[in-house]
Amino acid sequence: MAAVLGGYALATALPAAIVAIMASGMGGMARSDAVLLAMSLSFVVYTGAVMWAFAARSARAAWLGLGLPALWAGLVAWMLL
Amino acid sequence: MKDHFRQSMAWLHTWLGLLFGWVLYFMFITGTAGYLDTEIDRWMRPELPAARYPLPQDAAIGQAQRYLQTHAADARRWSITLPIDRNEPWMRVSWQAARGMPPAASGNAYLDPVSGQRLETRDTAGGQTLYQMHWRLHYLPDAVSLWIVSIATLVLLIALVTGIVVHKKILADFFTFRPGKGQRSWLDAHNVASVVSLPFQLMITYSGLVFVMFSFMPLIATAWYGPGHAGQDAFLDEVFPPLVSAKATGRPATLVSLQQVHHDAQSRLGAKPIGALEITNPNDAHARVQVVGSFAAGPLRATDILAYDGVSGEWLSARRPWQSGPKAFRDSMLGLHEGMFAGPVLRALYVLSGLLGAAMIATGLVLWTVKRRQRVERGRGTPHLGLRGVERLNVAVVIGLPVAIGAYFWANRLLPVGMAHRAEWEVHALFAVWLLMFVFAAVRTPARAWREQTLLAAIVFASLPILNAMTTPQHLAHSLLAGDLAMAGFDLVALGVGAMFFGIAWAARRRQRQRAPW
Amino acid sequence: MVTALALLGLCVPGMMAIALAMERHHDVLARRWRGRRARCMLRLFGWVVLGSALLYAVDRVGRVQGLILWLGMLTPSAVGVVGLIAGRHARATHRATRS
Repeated sequence: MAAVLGGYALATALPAAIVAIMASGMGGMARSDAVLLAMSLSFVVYTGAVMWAFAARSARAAWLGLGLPALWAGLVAWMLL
Repeated sequence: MKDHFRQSMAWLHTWLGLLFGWVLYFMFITGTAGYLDTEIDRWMRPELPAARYPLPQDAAIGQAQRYLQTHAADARRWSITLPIDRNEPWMRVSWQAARGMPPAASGNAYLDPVSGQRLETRDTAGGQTLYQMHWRLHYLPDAVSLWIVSIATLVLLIALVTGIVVHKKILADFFTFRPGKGQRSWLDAHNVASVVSLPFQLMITYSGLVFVMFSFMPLIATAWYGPGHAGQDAFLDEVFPPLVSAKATGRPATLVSLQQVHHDAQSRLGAKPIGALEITNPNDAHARVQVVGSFAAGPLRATDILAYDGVSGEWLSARRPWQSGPKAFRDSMLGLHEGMFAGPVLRALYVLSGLLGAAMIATGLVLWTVKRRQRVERGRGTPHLGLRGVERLNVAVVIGLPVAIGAYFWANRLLPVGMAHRAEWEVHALFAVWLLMFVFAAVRTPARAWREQTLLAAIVFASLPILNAMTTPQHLAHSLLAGDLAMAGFDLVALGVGAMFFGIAWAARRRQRQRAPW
Repeated sequence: MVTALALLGLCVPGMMAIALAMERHHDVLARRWRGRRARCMLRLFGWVVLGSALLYAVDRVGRVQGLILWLGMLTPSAVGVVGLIAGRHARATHRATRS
């Protein structure tokens, strides 16, 4: 199923997504802590993303639903770090 | 809308469960065995005396230092583990040879803390190897097994969440179990096993992911620290700040008395127990001694580490258990997963929950086959290769693995003590027997295979105490009288496991005789 | 050990009460003890008992370990209750089919 591919895209999307959220949130946090926190949260996001990909009505919806936030997150992360 | 969501989640749950169920079952069984690793170790090394802990550490440390100085003076690193709880019941020393030396130059030994003599035991893989298969699998390169285990754990998390989402009447069904109704009963069993142990399952899965998160999500570290190995190393150095860096100078110097270091550490730590001493570059001018507290004091898997100069005995620096919120979160997750802090009652609960997790997976796998088999019987489908294959794989894994582990214990008692590579052969025995179970399952009908393999499992486990009595002097009566709880406990649990399998075999036979829906 | 047994002694009845308050399992009770009021009281009793089990655990072994121990104890209690109720249902069905 096309959803499987959508799930794979997540592997790259998630780190970026989490990192972005973390980066924007905390101003005065040690780097290692930020990374630890981001990694810890990433699994929750990954799970949700896989479920989303399989619940989506079409392969295109899955890709868009995952790819767009991933891109946005990547941009935010890149800008903040 | 909601229906489509539920349907797709159900589909996801089923297929993830089917694809990864067998690997996860293996992980659950080996992981549960891991909660009893030192007890299994003890049974597999019957030559060791009954464990007594905690012990007066002063004299023990002196003996250990003497032993290491005699046998491993040129080693790069020494380590002395002191018995303070069931996680390390005997004093153990180990030494790591200098770079470039053959692996045989490194080693470890159990020492008698009073006499300083080495305790000779048979070369065995022990409970530790069984436990390590939980994340290292076997016969596979480490990197490959790490990926398989990481993905399987993530799949388990997704399966748990989708399972919860799909279970429509999760609260109403909470106590429901209706035996003898075929597919319905298997579904009930699957639900009960999962829901009743749900907090544990969620915790164990999530904490398992935390264990591997550095390797699974390296790109997150890359975002902050830069690409490549340098970035990863920088990150790890910040999470685990090295206490004292010291390269060997090559200039010999006398190592300080470890007892003196120990006293100083005790004065700094107060009542907190000391678990181990790590010595880097012994007998060198840049020797360093690290005194490590107990990792099992609580769910937080971190402890005080004090660093000392190895020649002068001067205190250099310390790392405390609590460093920051996120790090403490990670350490708590690891601590909860490993359960090293658990006393006997909590440990029993851990084992129960682990077995429920295994049951959750096993019932799920059987449910899949029963559902499709019933469809076939009602004439709504053909028994395609997939169904037949899964039916056989199920019994070979669910029952075959316990049989193989029983064979592992048998091998420990039967293989000649002086045999070369004995430890490896014990493990080979495990997998050889498991392979046999697969062959066995392939050539018998599933119904017969279930009965036969369950009976085999029952015999293999129930006769372990008898085998023990025949091959060592530490039989059950002896260990009970001597207060050797680990040894006696193992024999008793083996009997219990055997009895359980007898029960399953009997129930299977009765069900098949009545021709009730299986 | 005593703590553990005491906790079990609290959690099993607590869970049992909650189970019996549920519509599906209420029939396990003898007819004269059934009814809406009975269900409300059973539910209240069950939760109060479980709550006091948690407080007891925390009091004996501290906040963190107490919570862990309590959560852990819920599992075997639930398993026991499932077994007991399934047994009662089976016996009731058996009696019904025989008479």
